[in-house]
Amino acid sequence: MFIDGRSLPSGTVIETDIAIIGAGAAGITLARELRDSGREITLIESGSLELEADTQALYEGESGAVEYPLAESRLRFFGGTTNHWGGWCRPLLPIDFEGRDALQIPAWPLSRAELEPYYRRAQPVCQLGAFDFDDPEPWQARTGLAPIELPGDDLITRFFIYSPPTRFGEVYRDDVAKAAKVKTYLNSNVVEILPNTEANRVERLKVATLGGNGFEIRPKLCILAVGGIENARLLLASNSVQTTGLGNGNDLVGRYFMEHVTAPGDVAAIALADETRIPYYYVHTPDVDHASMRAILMPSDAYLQRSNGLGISLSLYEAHKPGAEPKADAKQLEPAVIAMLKSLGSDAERSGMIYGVACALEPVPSPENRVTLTRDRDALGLPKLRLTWRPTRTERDALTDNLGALARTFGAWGGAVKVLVPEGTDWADDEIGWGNHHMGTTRMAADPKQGIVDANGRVHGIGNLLIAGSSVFPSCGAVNPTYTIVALAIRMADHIKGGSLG
Amino acid sequence: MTINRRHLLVGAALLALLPGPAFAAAINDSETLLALLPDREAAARLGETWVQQERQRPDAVLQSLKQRLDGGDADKLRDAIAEDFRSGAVVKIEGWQIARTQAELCALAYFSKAGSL
Repeated sequence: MFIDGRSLPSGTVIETDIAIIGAGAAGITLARELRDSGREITLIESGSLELEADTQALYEGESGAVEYPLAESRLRFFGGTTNHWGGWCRPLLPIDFEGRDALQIPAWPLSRAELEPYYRRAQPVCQLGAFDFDDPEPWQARTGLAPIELPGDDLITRFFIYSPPTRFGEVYRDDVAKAAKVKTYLNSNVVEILPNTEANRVERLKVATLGGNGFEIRPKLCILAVGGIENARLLLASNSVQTTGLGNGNDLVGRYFMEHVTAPGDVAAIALADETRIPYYYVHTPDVDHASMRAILMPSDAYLQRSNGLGISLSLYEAHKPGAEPKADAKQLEPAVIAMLKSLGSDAERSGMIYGVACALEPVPSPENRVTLTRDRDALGLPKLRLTWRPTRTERDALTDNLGALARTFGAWGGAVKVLVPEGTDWADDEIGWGNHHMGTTRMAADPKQGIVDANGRVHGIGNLLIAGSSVFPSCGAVNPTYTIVALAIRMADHIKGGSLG
Repeated sequence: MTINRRHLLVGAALLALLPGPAFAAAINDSETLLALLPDREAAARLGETWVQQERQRPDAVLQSLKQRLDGGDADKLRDAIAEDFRSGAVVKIEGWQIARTQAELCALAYFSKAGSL
């Protein structure tokens, strides 16, 4: 059942078993998973069923470093940011859960093996086909393309599977609407989570609407699922009792914001005289069970360990014939490189091709990259946020190191790589790109001094407050977050149904 | 590769400067190596950029290539390139990362074109 929160009389009090704040990938997954649990579920969504400008404007804020599109990179209506999701899905690697001390990347308090069954259950939720992320045979069977046997062990071939993409607000709207035990309040904004006087238990949620009315929800269990940035904002703004912000006794809420660093353009170009095998890396399979796949390159575990490097996803595409962009290459070295490569044993009858390389780079979690509140307030009176984020020199150096590995690999194979990111320099503003992946601001850690939530998503010290979504990621590898968000939400729902989370 | 008039003129000019046997040996060595590069013009463009960037000397380049390729057949060249990338002997030319052996061959093509051998 959908209810427009603007229609409720001010002062209404709603009692519920479980309140889920936010109807995005995490919130909708939780509601669907819990709909038959026998509990009364209240799903609270700021927006309506469609994008509306005044609600979307509630996302506006300030950038403290890199100019970040806070209002554009997220969507605030039923389905959340899945409404413009690109659909790239891949599980985090086992090494991503293990932490790397030299880079101050913390371990997750759970392993990939523990999350594996939930990844598999997330597969149909995200409308993916088979669980074929690492095995080349199914992909080869679909495309007829043979993989490149890359020399050395720096890089490995892996696969992304594309969700159609699943627009959670459309695909699962009927599921949520028809679930007898789920009531969804639209146009309803939680503006404060109010705990008891000891701040160890949530008692009430203060809800406001842009229509001017307000009401209250009293849950037995509360799940915060409003996104990787907004989860921190709402905790910081919930400061009536715990004045530094709810769950923020150790000054960690909002810190360790992570984004996958990309570049506005390509980070490298690969020249090959013989392009017969490279399509393996840029051809998408035809749709199979609504999903298509593509191959990518990633560093091997061995490479990451010996280089103290950061993870990266390298995707290739056909760019242009050599010399087709003379302004970008005034010395015309591209055709010269191709000619040289042809001389060295490739099929000289073929014309050669330049391939673009795009990337998503793993970030190092830094406490200086963070969400804070400003003195400005939005239309509901909630403090606006400031996002301070800038990739570090560590990430810059890791990127050029990874591109060096790419150059070595393809060079030894018979190609040549042009690295387009200058070495030994820091980021210039116009070199910084991002994936619109917001992660880490309420990160997971067994130790309350290192993170906000425990391995099950429960806020340390607050027994009935859980957090779902990418804000709990202590690290994020080099893969898109939505698939992991869904897997974690399914896992959380299982724990709730099993009684271990209240 | 066929020796054209320009090569003969360059050779004649250098003959005046070099002892006869040494020059002849250098020409023989370099021609054997340059036979690995059918498109010398293109290779020379890369070689020129690298030579200007790192001030390579013709005799050093030739000596290095002789050591690496030892007789200069295509299989040895491929092996040398692969070994360069394995061992990190990589040269950076305007962002292009190529094997040192490749760069030296390109430099040799440039020196040959410029009459510097």
